Amino acid sequence: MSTVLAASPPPMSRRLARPAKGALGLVLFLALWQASVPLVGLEPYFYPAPADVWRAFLDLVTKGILPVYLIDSIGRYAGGVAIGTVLGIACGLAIGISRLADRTLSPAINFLFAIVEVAWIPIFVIWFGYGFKTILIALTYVVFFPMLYNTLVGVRTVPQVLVNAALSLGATRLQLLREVILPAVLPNIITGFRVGAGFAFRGLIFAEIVAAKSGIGYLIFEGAANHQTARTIVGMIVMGLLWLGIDNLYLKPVERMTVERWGSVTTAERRE
Amino acid sequence: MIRPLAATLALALGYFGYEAWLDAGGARKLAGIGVPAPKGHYELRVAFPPEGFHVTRMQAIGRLIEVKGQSVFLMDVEPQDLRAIARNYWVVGVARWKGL
Repeated sequence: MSTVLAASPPPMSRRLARPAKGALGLVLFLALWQASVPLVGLEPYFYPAPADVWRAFLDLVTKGILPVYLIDSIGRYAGGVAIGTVLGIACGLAIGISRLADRTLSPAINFLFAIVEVAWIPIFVIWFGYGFKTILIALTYVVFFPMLYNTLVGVRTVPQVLVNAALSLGATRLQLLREVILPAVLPNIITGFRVGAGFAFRGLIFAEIVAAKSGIGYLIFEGAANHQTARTIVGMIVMGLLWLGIDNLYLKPVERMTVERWGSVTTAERRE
Repeated sequence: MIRPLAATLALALGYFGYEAWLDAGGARKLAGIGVPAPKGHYELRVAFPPEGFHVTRMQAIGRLIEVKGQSVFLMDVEPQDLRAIARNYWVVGVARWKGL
């Protein structure tokens, strides 16, 4: 069943070539953007050049605005994703394992699933006010459903033969959960986490636009509202870089590790 | 697993280093002035004409009386709030002010 994907790590030249190509593409894009500014011939307010955006970035850092907004956004995002993940996994496991939990919780969860967080945020603002609490709850809500449904699918697709084997060997319910179900569900949890983390990132922007006076989402909104388009673009670039960082430093390595450990793909080293 | 751990460690080190740098800067700015309890009046000098972002943060810690050029005049600021605002690197100087 196993498929060998890589017999040895790629050579250094190939590992360096990919970022170099990415950097070249970025430089080309910036050069085209800069060259297009005189051709378009609009005011910087409508169409800022890369140099204007760079100046806006330096201005935001010098004035202490960007660090504060960045730390606020990361804190809200990390908090919302962490709480949503824990709640989603717990509910998914409970519903998947317990018929009582399934019958009790599933209708309400299915109902809530249809109500997107965008609809909740105005209510959350009324209940919890502007700022951290509202955004944290909104992001928790966003992450909760992908986590729950992926965990649930994972639990329901655990081969019954494994469950029966563990039970016939005298496993308790806790041991069954820890030794059989959780390892089997982990790839689904990682998939749910990846989906939820992506949704939460988009949710963060909207939540900060509507319900915050700080954060990268607010920077994007405030820049546009105050005719500081370069600041809006800085916010968008920071958002993109932040997601690239989260994806490359956290999501992809964890996903790869999970697939190698529990999925059908393995490396040559593991086979040996 | 090494990459996420290394990234978290680097982020944590960066964050705490940044916070320590801000703390040191705040202490340096307040070193020369007496900070009376429970409240005092101060002139905070900013490195540039303050924007809404800065004015909002200053309004949160005391009564904002005037913004003149790069100086912001505040009354009734508690010591811990003064220390918190002085940590910001965009605050370049703090001086006692007699008030209105």
